Amino acid sequence: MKTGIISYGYYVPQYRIRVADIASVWGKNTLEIERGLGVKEKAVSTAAEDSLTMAYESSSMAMKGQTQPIGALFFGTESPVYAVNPSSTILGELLDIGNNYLAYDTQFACKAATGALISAIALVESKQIKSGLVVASDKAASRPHDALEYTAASGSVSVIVGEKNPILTIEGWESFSSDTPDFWRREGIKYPSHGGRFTGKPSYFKHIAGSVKTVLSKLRYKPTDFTYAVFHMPNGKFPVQVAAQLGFSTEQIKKSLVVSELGNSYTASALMGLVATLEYVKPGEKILFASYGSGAGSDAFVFTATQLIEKKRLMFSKKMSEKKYIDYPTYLKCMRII
Amino acid sequence: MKSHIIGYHTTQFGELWEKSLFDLVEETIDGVLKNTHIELGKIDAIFFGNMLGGILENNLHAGAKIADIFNISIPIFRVEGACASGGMAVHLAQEYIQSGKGKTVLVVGAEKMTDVQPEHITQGLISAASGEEQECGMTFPGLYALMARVYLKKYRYDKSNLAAIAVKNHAHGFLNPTAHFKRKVSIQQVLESSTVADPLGLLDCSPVSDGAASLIVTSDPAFIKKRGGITVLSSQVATDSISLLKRNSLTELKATQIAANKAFSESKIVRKNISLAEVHDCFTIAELFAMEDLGFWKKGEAGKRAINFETLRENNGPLIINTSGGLKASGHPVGATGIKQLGELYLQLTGRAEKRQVKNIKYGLAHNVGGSGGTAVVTILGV
Amino acid sequence: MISPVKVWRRQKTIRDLLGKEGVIITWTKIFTPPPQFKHIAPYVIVYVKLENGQNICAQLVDCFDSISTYEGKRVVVTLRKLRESVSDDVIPYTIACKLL
Repeated sequence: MKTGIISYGYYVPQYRIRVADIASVWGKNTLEIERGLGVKEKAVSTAAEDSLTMAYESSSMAMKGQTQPIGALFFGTESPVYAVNPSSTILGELLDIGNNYLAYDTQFACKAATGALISAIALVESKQIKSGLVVASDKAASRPHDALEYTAASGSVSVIVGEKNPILTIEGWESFSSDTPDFWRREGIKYPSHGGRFTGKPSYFKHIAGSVKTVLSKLRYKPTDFTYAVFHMPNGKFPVQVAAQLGFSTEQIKKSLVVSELGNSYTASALMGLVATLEYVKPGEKILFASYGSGAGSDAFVFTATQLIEKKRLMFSKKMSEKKYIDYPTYLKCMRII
Repeated sequence: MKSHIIGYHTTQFGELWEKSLFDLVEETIDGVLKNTHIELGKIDAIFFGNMLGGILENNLHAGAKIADIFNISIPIFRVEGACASGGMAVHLAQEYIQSGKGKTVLVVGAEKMTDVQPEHITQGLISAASGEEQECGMTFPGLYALMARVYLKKYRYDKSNLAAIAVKNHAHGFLNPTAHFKRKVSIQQVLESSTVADPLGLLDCSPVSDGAASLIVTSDPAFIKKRGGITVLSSQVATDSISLLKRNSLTELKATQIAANKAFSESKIVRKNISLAEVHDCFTIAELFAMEDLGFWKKGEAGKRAINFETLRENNGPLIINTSGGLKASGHPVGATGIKQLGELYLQLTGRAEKRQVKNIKYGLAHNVGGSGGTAVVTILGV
Repeated sequence: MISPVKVWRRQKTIRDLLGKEGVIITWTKIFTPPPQFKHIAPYVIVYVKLENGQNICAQLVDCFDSISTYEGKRVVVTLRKLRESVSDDVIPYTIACKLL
């Protein structure tokens, strides 16, 4: 039996705010920003939502029909509801998975969940647990008037790793880590800080190249072996550029580029691109998946879809079209800024 | 020997900035003793109706506070049943007398609601609802709004059937010198008032008021002969689930029905005998429920009869409701309301209701409800 | 200060309601909230009869304003954070309803 993803779930809040409606408040040129960032609008969660409530939404979807006991629950976020107190156990309690599980919360900027995914895979593969639930969830905060305001969004994705009846098998993984301070937030400080253009070449591009090139060489794959590729999406430009640099075509990444409509849901960003792709992938097709977390690191995975994907894929694009636009004051109310 | 009400006093109801809760208690106790020419030394016990003293002012142990003010040592009991606190205090007072524990009892109800912001009153009042209801941000207007929506839809009425109650009670309050609001309102004004909890608007809701009222209840034949008391023919209390979630129906209050049936049975008179009543109109919809639950009108009829102003004093019908102005116009200082209702009946039955006087009344009924119907007190008085 | 013990005791009841489906019996929209609910006001509260016969009341979240009558509509129970807690309180998560 091969270890893989046996189930998944996602949650995107219904509210959207257009880049245009943010730019007009600050007297900025909408077209310039849309073109520069490759983003038109982003998803906004309400004032009644946080990373935990969204995690409940995506994980309860993933848990539907699951019978395998959950032996581990890992919660990756960079907007935890407590500075000290596990969200993983609150979620575990709400999902009624009993008490015999390992729980921990992780933080590593936008790759908090994919790092935990690797741990879950290892525990399942070594037969120490039957299945593991990995949750990514963020209600990303950004300082008003900062560039991040156009992209920082909300969302959650949950995946269950197991051996029985996977819909995606995991061929292998690689992680590339270094100390690169491109984006950080100190204790007690409300909004993150970033290094501007330093977040590009020495950060995002270097680490994704690092993990992807290694996993391809280790498993002896070329970019053309893959039907799809998914890269972390801090904006609409970076994933397109890194794909080209690594030899992937725009066709391969097209389905995953949800950022232009949803914004960047941080830990859920790349995983949301994977969810979008799973709506289309056919049995036997391969997906190259690479996350990026500032600070910095990248986790790359090679997935192969199984026959079961036909029955178990989730609708996504239709759900994305069920949205309601809000104005800037409502956005501030949702983000608890007013 | 049945209990008799031989005296009544009320303070002004409204925004009484200069007066604290116990200033109001002191004022009304002094007032009723003066009205009746009875000395405090003749009072065997005091029953005090109050809901929010603990929550808003961190003031409990009211009995000792009253003993402190008046330098007395008699038994003093604080009674709480949300908005039915006043009615319950009177009930317990007459039970105390009936059991022979005392002959003459003073019942006082008071509430101080304007020392804090309205939103804190909203929060304080919802303590009379269940935890589940509180947890989702429910308010009292909200609870009655839920019921109003079902009632209006079921019997095919609209908001004007509710508005008519506010119009009538304001017309009555206009003539009541101690009422919080002494101005008339029109159906249009009520319909146009801002929404508090859909479908209830501001003018569908009784106001936040300060006030205190007191009664002297006795079984002493000498006092009764001297003062010409009004007999308490019956006093009944019934309860129901605190939460709307457990009720069988959202268009009636079972506690009112039970208390009313028991009160009529105990008093040995029938509904037709009642030509005057003070009913609990915390919201306009509540008066419609009251008229049906008390058995005056058939289920579903109240909306129609309300818009025909059948119970407006001016129309001289067989049953007049809320000449005090009801909770809506005379105000709703929670703990005082039940006392005021009986006091209004006492004034009417003894010919002392001045401009609001209804002629030829022999019996009166008071109906006091706690929360969304968790407690109901029905009292029937007779000359 | 919200008691952490009360939040903990309440948890099992919330957990048992999550995911249950029901029908809206009646509703209201609150415009004068208690202080801890101001930040999300105005809000709709629905009175729902669940499939198991139990009645609940909860805020209706994520509904578009254009729906003018809610009665009879099917909902599912989900998780939200409604009551605003003071910054050092335990967070009191509770149930809310979403239209199906």
